[in-house]
Amino acid sequence: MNEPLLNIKNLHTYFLIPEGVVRAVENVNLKIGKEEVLGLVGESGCGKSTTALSIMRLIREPGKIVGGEVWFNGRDLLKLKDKQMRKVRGAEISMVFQNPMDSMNPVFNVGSQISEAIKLHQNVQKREIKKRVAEILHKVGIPNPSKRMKDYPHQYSGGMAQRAMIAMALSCNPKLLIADEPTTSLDVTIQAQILELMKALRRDFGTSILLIGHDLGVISELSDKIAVMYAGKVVEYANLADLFQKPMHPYTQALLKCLPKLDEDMEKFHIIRGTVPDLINTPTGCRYHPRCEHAMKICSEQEPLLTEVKKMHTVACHLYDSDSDPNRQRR
Amino acid sequence: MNQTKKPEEETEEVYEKSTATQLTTVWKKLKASKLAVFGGVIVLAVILTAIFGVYVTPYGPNDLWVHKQLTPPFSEAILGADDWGRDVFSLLVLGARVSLYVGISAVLLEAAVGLTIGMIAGYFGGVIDEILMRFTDIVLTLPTLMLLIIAVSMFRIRGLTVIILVSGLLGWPFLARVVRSEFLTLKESTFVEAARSVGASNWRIILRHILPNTMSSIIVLLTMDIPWYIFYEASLTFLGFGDPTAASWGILMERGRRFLGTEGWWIATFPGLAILITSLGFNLFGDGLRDALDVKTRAR
Repeated sequence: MNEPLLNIKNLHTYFLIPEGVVRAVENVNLKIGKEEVLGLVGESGCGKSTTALSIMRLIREPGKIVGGEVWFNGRDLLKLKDKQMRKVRGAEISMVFQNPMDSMNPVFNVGSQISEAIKLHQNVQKREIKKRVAEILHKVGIPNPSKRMKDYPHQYSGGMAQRAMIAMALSCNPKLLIADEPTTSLDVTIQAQILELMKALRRDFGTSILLIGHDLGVISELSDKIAVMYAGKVVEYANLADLFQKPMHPYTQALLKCLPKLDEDMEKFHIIRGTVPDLINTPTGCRYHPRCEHAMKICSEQEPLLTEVKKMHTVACHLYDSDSDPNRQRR
Repeated sequence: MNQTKKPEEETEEVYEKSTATQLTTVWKKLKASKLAVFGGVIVLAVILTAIFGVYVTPYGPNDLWVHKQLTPPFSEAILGADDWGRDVFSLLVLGARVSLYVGISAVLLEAAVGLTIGMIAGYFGGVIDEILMRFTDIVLTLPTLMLLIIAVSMFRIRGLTVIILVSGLLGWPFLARVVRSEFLTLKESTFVEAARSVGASNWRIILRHILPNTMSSIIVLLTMDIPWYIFYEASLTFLGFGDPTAASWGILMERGRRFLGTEGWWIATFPGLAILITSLGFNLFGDGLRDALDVKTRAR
């Protein structure tokens, strides 16, 4: 495989608060190839969004990227000057946020918000900008775009607002789109539409996407590969099909079990007991061991390393340590 | 793309209901409030008088009726004549220009300082915020009128400029606090994050993305501050520290003071009423604007 578009190496992002150091992202390694969609899955508070914001260098006080490299298109983003980084944001990497209604400035009409990215990164005449905005709004499926671009955000529905935000993100043809739970605040039918839209855009524009979410069902719609995060760490990384057929990490297995299935009789929904640990006082050893069904003695003592167990399938779990027999341990 | 059809049908109805833009909603609400309209009419009248008044007054402000000093009002001269035989009404009209000039210039100065300090303190926070806000606290404790008197006596120039400069440079702390608090909330909002994510710089975010969101409270505050500066100038002038060459309402009152208990009550009374009505107008209008611009009271 040739050079990946985005290559995150040993990323550490901490929040330095009076109570202590919150290790929100610890030693995260991720790769996204050209025209590839990587799904990043995990419960709330696992460091998914922090990872995304770290890539964009949008982490704000008291957060701090304390270590690692973010290679994008041959450059380490963490080493760029602020001014250079601003040129990357919106033009080469752009972002779609969770709540589209809050992502738009209430005092400007939608058209002028979308043109912001074009204005900042491209030297285009006013009339040309208008044309481009209308074009891109049409592409994301806003009907009557030349009229609707004059509307204010409160006149848009949630789904349309998210379409507009995607339009804004795509307006400069970025190479990478970071979608941070783009469908979480939308109702299910609109969710499906937005996912369809992102699929179509991926086909048309060839943009790589980092899709963040907590719903494996949603993420699987779009992703080629999936990384599962738990308590600030990547615990499993595999192709979509591999992950669904043979999930290896107990956390991934549990997440998959939580998905309701229509073809099985279910008395109760599966749940994962407990909550994500406090990231100031993380459990020793494997961070998942207090909630893990397969916890062994070593789990609380030694931290499992992310190892490639099969081709293109890495997992961080002591169950797959080379000295123990994986077949015996797995159910 | 096939899926574009559906949202069209879905949203068309919502669209019809809310075609009114924000400005027309504000205008409608402003019109609905009788007091705001009343205030607005006064403000407009004062402004028009200040601009065009001197061209339509029956007499020039320096025309003297040599034999008609202290003519009572509602006779030959509608508001009477002063002790020099000048037409009080014409003087009032000229005074509107001077007083409004003071009020508006001082407010612009207040806005320049208050906005800058409030925006920087609120947006950047931390040590910068701490320093700027403590400075604001200090300025807030300074007694404006006393400093004005000191400044005017110190500079020995009884100019309006000194009054405008000093009152404007002392009047901004409250505005700065309001702007700061708005920036503190707004800088955390997602749309600021979104603006940052497309590559907007700090100053662009401050001026283009956050500032427009604070405009309504700023406009209201500034509108209601204009009469304050007119007051300051009038009080100062009334106390004898004003600019004797500028025919402001304060000067007219000061000149009429000597005749208040005696034969010329109208000389000081009418300028006083003018100040009162102007201040009332600005305050009612400001109040109305506040209600009209407030999104939370939109349902009405």
